[in-house]
Amino acid sequence: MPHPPDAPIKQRLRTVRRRIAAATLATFVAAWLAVAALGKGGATSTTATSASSSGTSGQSDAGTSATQGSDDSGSTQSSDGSSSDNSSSSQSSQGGSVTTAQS
Amino acid sequence: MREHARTLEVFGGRVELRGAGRDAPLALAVAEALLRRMHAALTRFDSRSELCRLNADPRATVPASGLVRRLAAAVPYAGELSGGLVDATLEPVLEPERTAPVHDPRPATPDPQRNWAQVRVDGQAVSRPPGVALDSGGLGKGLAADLVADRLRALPSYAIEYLGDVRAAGAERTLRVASPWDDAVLAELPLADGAAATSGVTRRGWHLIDPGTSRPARTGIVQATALAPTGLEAEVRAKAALLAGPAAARDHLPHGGLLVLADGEVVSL
Repeated sequence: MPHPPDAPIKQRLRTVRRRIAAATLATFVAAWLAVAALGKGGATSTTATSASSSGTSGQSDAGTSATQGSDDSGSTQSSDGSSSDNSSSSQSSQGGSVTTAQS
Repeated sequence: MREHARTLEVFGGRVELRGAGRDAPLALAVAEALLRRMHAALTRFDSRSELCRLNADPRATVPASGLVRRLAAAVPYAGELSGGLVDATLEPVLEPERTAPVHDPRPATPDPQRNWAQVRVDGQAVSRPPGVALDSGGLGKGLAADLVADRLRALPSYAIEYLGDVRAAGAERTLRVASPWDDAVLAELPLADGAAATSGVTRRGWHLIDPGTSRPARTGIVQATALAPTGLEAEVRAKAALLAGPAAARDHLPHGGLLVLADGEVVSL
């Protein structure tokens, strides 16, 4: 709300500060919602770890078969169709190891 | 530099996305959304998916989304690259036998009908012979990795581990090749920019089909790992190498790879 030109300077500063805090909070919430929507909402947790990455994608192969390969999307019939809405987030050191295996 | 990571379940397995840089969290979130969209469009296990609807459509030419058109374009690519051994127009084996086919090991052969060669993308539509269905299988997996890599290419480094395969760039990594029989690491190879895929018959059973006989293939190779510039190419080459058998497998692995023969011998290429 506007202040009369002769409002005390302290009051004006307090109002400005409040507006800045409100705008910052709104921006943060909007960004968070946007990222969550992009990720399709799954429950996302964030953790930090210093372990080097290791990944593995399980065993899989190709299941892929494409086949005639193909198949897969990795999956066997029973599992292929599955898609979980959950995802998780973490951090690890750059590089490290990656694993290839039959799916 | 540290890498952010996201892990999710799609295509019936686990996918881990990793990327470095300030923009990584948002880029990984976008990549995850793309993977989920691809899963919804290309899964064979949901009759409502666009791929299932395409396969059930009696028309020879069917309007299709960009994702399905990319898959359709991959079908003749895989056929050409593998000499017809990787044929995504064959019926997939959903419940593979756990025991080996009774015939002696022999190389797989292509299907003389070459239905894969008649799959085309015409503008915004996909054309294929009536009754011919497309299998997203391994092609969909490799394609997904390549599309995700496109989304992450602006990052200083990234890695995509997807259902046993890998696509990575920007950092030196150690590629571990898992044993076909247990969780042991069979070999370690350097991997900086490129992809690796592994195909085999010891984990899921004899699910790889010999296109020439439409029966499970028994070629004398139980696992093949292929290195290649892209996920799709690695996927095709790994399968083609396994189907080709020990004598011709090398021809399908021009970028290198690893073979495990039925007698346990490991051949590095």
